[in-house]
Amino acid sequence: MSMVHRTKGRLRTCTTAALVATGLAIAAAAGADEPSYTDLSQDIDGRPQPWWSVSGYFRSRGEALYNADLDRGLDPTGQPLYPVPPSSPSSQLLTHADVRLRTDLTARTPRGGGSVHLRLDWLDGLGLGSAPDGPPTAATGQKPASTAAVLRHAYAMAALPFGALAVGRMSAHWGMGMVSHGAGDLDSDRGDAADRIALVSPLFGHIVAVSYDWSATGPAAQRPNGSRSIDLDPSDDVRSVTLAVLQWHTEQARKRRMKADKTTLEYGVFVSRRWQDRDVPASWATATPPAELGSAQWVQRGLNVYAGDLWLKASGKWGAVEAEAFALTGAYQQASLIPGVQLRDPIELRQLGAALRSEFGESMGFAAGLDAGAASGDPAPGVGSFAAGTATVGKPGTIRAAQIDPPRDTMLSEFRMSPEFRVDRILFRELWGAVADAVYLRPHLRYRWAEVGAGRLTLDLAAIQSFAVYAASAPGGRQPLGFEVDPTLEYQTRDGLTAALQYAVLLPQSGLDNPAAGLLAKPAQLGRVIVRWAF
Amino acid sequence: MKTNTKVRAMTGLVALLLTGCVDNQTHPDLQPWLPSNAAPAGLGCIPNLDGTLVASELPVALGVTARNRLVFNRPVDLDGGVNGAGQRVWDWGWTAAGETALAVTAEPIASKWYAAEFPGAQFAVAFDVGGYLDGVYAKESDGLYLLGLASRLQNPTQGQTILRYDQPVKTVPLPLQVGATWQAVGKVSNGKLYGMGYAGVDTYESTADLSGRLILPDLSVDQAVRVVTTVTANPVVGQAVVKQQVSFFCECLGEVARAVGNDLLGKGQAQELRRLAL
Repeated sequence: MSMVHRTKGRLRTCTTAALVATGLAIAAAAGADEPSYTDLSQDIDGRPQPWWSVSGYFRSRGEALYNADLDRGLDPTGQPLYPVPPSSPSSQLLTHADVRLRTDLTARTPRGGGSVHLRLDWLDGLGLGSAPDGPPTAATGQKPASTAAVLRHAYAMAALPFGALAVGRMSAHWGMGMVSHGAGDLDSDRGDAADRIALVSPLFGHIVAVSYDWSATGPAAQRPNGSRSIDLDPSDDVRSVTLAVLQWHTEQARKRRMKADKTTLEYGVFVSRRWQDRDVPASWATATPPAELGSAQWVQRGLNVYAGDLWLKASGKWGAVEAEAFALTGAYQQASLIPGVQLRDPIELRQLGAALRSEFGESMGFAAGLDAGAASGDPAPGVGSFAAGTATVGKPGTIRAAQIDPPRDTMLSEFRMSPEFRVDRILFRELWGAVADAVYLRPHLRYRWAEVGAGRLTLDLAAIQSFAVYAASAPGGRQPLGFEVDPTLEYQTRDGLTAALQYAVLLPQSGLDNPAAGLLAKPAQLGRVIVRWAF
Repeated sequence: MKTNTKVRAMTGLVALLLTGCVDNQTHPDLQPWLPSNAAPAGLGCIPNLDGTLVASELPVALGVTARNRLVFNRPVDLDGGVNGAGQRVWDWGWTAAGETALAVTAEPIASKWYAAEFPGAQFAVAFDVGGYLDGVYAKESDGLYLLGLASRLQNPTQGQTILRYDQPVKTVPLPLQVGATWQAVGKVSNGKLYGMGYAGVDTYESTADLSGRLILPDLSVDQAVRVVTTVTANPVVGQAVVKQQVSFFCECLGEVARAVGNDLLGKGQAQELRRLAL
């Protein structure tokens, strides 16, 4: 029996969780950030709350990559796998340091029936030293950031007799984050967000959520009075509707059940549809010369996509096992981006993804587990993770390329997991951009090493073996991509300080070689330091 | 993991630990990630479908190869039909046995052996399907001009060809729209054709007479302008030769189909037919 029927506060907890959960990025879309499940749910979990609150963190990162292009030479388009230092062939080192100040502001109505939420990321991703004020050698300061703050979320919630209603730009996170990810982790960059209205209700012991997303509204015009804009044509809107059903527990509930030696089972399922009748490529892609938005620019699209996802999680004193499976099907009836030109064949979409995460023995201070995942692939050369919509078709050996080539290849079957769904530090995160057209296995260990002062020192070690689904899509023409080892030393205090020292070495395999140039891919390394002060 | 993969992994690890900096063996001059080198992500030219093809809607993309379907000696429907909406439609969407692929690329003139012979030339495009002849062109704000013809190789087995017009011949006026009619005359003096001396006068008479929807095997275009050209070659020595050509142009894609024949307009029989393909 769900706890949703028991108290009003808990009802709100669960409905909030479902609201977050309905975040769906159909196909591999979207972009923004998130407050995680628990962050939001704790905010209105029935406990006494101040009428406003501020939380967040300041994070600073520094990292160095060595031989990130694997010394595997250039692909048929003349491009390396990763940026290389331009000045000298002998230089292999790339470095970066940045900061982010995250602020989550919440205001609540006096009687707890509603709340307004705002997330602002200040100096987000600001490269330290990236804006010297004057000639670099003589600079005595840095120019002010052109965009001081990025608005990630702004939404309001209201508790109604039959559920909760939320409207605004809000986090989109589902399950393990394989499809859509809110990016609330220590090292997250960008996450998914949705402009959405959602109604979340307890029903039959579950949480049922229905949402409508304004995924894209197309060109807008200023109203004659100049006060605000207006959507020029509803026919070019991309719309998404989602129905989600889930059984979910707060972190506090999980801990209570764990203390009672109970296994907690959670699950969720969603089905979603995204569609678009017409498109205006000239409004989102650059043109030379810039195109005027006349009626000719509204082209037929006929997008109709259905997606479904099943997420399961079991946790207890023994550990936790979590799994997710995703499927997508649909079509672009007309994929041409050029007004007045139609392709003969529609583009079909068939994508599958699955992930497994497990960890056992946490209560003993030493944990081990096995993670695994698979993202469906496409035999077209290269991967499309980083390729823009106008990318060209690749030749064998190409690293990044379009995954369709009509009329010869009209099936888009490469599934790209969320870039924030991190399973390694070099291959998928940096080189591929995301897990796409690949299978991975990831055994991992965690050791609670010592209590030091007010904090805990933890050692993590993960090893990732990765394969391409299709050998033809790997630049080396073979399936084995690489073996990566990712150790971490992390110190976390009870008052919110987290410091992590991360290292990674990727030992590339034949799928990353460059047979056309006769070059074998060589190991790459990464070192990263992250310090985060949470408040 | 296969044994050789394991060995490679271990070898790589040992090498990593034992070696210091190694030169990047394929250091690129240009990278897409550098801000100044970032490829223009976009569509390039976008048609406005206003019925008029202006200079910016006839871009010359040097080095970009257009794939064509090529077929020889077959009847072709030059007039098309009119659909229920009153729009003329040419259905050239059929496929035929014996079709071959023809790659057409506009190449910069500077790389050609005959570049110095054609002052003002900008680019060259294969003129015949056999790859023997190049057409030498220049695109100006008021039209696309043919400056002459030259053999692709300086010393081909068939003998060298180099035919310079005394004045560039306007092949496509810009802007181009239905109703346009133009004539151009190109005189060749001291030319060379298949290694033999040549002189003569070529007369081009063209008209853009119809527009409508053109259906091709892989794609269709809503607004194609039909251009009918008759070329009469009068050599100083020998008989005159007449060739007829029907081309279809559309905004931003340029010429998307072409039929050529000696009596194309009379019998509707194309000796050579090329259609833009994907």
